[in-house]
Amino acid sequence: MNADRVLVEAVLARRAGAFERLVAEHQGLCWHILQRLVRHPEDTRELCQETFLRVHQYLHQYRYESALKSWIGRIAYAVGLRHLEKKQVPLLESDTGEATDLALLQESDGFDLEAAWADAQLRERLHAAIDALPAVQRTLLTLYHLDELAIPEIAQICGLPAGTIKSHLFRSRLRLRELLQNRFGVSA
Amino acid sequence: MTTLPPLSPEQEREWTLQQRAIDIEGGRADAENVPASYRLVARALREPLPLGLPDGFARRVARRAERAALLDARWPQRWIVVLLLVLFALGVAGLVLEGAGWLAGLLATLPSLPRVVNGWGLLLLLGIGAAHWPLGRGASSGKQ
Repeated sequence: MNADRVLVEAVLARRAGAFERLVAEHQGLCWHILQRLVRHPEDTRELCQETFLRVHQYLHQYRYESALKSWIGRIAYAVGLRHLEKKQVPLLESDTGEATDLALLQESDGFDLEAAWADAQLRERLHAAIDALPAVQRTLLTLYHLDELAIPEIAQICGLPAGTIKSHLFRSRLRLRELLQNRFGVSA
Repeated sequence: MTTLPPLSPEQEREWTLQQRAIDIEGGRADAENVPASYRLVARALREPLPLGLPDGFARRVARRAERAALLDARWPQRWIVVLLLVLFALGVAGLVLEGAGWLAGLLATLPSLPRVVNGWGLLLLLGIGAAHWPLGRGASSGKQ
């Protein structure tokens, strides 16, 4: 029996400490999704709590069709999106279909990676640029890079087609590289 | 949400470089032929987000969820008790308000009862009782 099934059955059987273990295992992913979507620590904490209360309420409906991680992630993502929609925050840019002109962006660059990484100001600006991306794009980047989820897993969480996720990842990373080239004086 | 078009061959090449930068930064590939800007982006994206959840978050949420579930389970039982009490109260109120009328109506029908239970009616009732008597006795003895 896999670990997800053991844990879910323990929670459903109301075994002591089982749900606490479930929360402890998945709170990191939940935090990543909600923090990237809403960016407000206090709201994120409340939404994380709301997510796990829903998980507890609806766990009997979990059918093991996806990993428990993806199922919980989907609930967190839905909770976060609903919060943003209530606040009328745009989730995606209207011109997401337009990519940066690759001809203007050269592949090769002549700077030292470690020296650039040691530049705290440059890193700060890069993080600010990630933070300035639209809510869905920065969430996709975090799920892919930080949580190291595969595109099909992210598709299960966000309900977006795999090709669309790939396009968002591509365009967001391209834009970050473009910022490095244009704004921060990194010669490309 | 909008479905984006697939990447062009030129964009696919850029995508490949982006992916190779991830593999290098993740220690899964040698650092060859990938410009520094790709790796810088990949490295920044891998930087952990500070977890802003308080200590004991899991324990607190678990307690709250279990308490909420307990309340959820008790509500239907409480509603049944409340409904039964309301029905009982309505019955008592009905008896108090209309009981005298109902009793008078019942008593008014009583004189007609002897016509039912005498003669053929009485015989029929006795016949039904006699027909079921051995059956009931057999069933009760079968149980023993």
